[in-house]
Amino acid sequence: MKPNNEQEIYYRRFGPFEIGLHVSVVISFLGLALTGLILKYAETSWAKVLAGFLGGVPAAGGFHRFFALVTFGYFFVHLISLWRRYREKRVQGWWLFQRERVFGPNSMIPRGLDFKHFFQQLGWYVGLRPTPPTFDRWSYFEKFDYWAVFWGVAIIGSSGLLLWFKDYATLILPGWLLNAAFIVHSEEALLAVGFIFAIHFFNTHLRPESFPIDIVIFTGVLSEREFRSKHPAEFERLQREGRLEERRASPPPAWAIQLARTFGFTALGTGTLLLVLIFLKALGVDPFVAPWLGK
Amino acid sequence: MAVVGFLIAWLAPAAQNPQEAESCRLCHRDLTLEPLQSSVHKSLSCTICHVGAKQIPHEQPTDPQICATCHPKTQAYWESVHGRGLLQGIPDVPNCAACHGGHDIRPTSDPNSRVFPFNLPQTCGGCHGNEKLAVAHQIPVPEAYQQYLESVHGQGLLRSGLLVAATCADCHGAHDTLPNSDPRSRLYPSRIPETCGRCHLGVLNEYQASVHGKLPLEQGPVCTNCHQTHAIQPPREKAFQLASVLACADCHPEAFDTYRESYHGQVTTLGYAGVATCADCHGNHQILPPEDPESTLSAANIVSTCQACHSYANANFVAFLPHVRPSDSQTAPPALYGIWLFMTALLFGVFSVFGTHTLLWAVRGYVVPAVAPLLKLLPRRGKRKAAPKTSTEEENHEAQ
Repeated sequence: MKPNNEQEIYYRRFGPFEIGLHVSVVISFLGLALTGLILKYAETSWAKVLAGFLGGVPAAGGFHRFFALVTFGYFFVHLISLWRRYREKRVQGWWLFQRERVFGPNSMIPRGLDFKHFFQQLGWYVGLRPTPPTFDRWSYFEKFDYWAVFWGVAIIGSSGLLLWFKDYATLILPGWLLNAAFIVHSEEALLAVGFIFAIHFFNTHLRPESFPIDIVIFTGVLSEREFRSKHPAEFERLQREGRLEERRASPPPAWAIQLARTFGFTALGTGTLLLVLIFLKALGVDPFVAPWLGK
Repeated sequence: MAVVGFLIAWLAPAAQNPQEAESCRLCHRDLTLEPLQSSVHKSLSCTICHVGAKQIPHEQPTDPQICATCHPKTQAYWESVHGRGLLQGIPDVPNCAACHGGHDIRPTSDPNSRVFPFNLPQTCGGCHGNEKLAVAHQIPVPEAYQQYLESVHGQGLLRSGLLVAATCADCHGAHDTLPNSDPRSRLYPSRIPETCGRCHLGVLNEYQASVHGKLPLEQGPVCTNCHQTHAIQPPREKAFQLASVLACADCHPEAFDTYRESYHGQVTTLGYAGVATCADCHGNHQILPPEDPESTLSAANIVSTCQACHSYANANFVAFLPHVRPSDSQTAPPALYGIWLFMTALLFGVFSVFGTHTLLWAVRGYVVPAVAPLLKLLPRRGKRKAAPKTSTEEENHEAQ
């Protein structure tokens, strides 16, 4: 928990655009997970309760498609923003060969240092290093999160579209591709749900430095203490380049913290609950049905 | 006419031998003869039925054998589950009067008769809907009456007033009621199609031509396997459609499992009809194997079968595999098995690497700091040769 200390210096990490993008990711992802998991786990009692709560299977299907549209929306907005950023800072030459842009500290593209950091992190876990690696703007696990969503939206989105518009799809494609789309959609969704609700939640919120929640993605700013502990290389780089002041920001207002924590905890709680239910199902336990009562 | 009517009304009770009735009443003081006024037996004297009453003290109570002196066609009763129970001296077993009434007995064609179709379920339900009697005598279906009332037959009879709707006796027989374990019973499993077919003849004909109807009757499903016995629901009822899937599952567990894994199966598992159940694709009474040209799933018919819901269905669409287990390399098409294998490997890979990563982080971040000071194991910051600052500079240099 971060004290809202007026004395502390705050720096901007995310702008309103990134905040809006992530909020729409959170809402649509939870919506898709809730409405999708009831089908994948249809035989559990909680899926039936949830289906009823959502207004029935047809209504849940409607919500699922709505959140899918939100997902396609943020995906394309993000792609457009990438394109615009590329155009704004255009320099001579093909962008892939602009080393700084592609492999610089602000790029999401993995670089050699990320692999080094990964092994340094493992080394820290097992006691081979006294400290964790010093991350720049994006740690390797944050980059993995980013690409997981990118890949996930592309794969789940395209297979979902195939199933949604199966009438048009089967004008040209054979029907067994719908089977393939169903497998991919369902398994990739399980991967996404498991990854976000277990790995991303821990790496971002439940790690000791952030526990129980990191609201920087919602308030956009973080304290100097957090900055130096989570992104020390970036902090030192900005300091060295004399650009640290550009990033200075006012502390988040109390209402923003309150709102961020409310929203964040709701999302964390929902995700964790779903993860627990999935785990219990894997263990053959239905928490709402006493095992001795059978089906 | 009026005079004749009056005379009959006046004479008829007299035929009951009023002197005899009055002498019975000397002891049986609470005996009222009113029910007898409308009884089909009103012209009989007491001792025709109460034969033992001629001697005092009376030798024996009225016995079904005495009814049989006038009603010889009811001999089947002694073979029935009720008659045999009576012979064994089991209490509560119905004799003739228990169903037909005693003093108030009426012809079975009289709408007020206890065994007239509208009244029969209640008469049988007196025992076959009575919890205490069900426990006492191990009646096999304790709530038969309640289930029947809700059933398509019970509703047809009692709500719609249809005399053609089946009542208890139409299926179970009346005097000859036998347990369904008895091969002579109309409800012995292999005789069920014939029994239901007495009313549902068209369905019986379809069934007999189907893959199920051609099986030896001991093996194949009969009407009640899908439709239940007492709790028969209208086939358009969602609850019936959902339950029918489970009925198919009894014999087709593999197809059931793959159905449950499909979208159709997931939706019906959640209790929502409106998507295809077994019968929507395979048909119901006339069900035939897909190889049969007449089958709903034959090459000639499958597109129109799918079109019942998916109006745009074409030859591509019907190549969808509704029953497939992608994890089974033996039965699944190689492409689907390959996709499943890839997805499984992807999930396993990601969760192994990042699961371990997160678990180790939790240990390093929470457990070690809590435990290490006690054990003095934790390497202390800055005391090692490679201080973090150095590495930061080094990395940044690398990054640029």
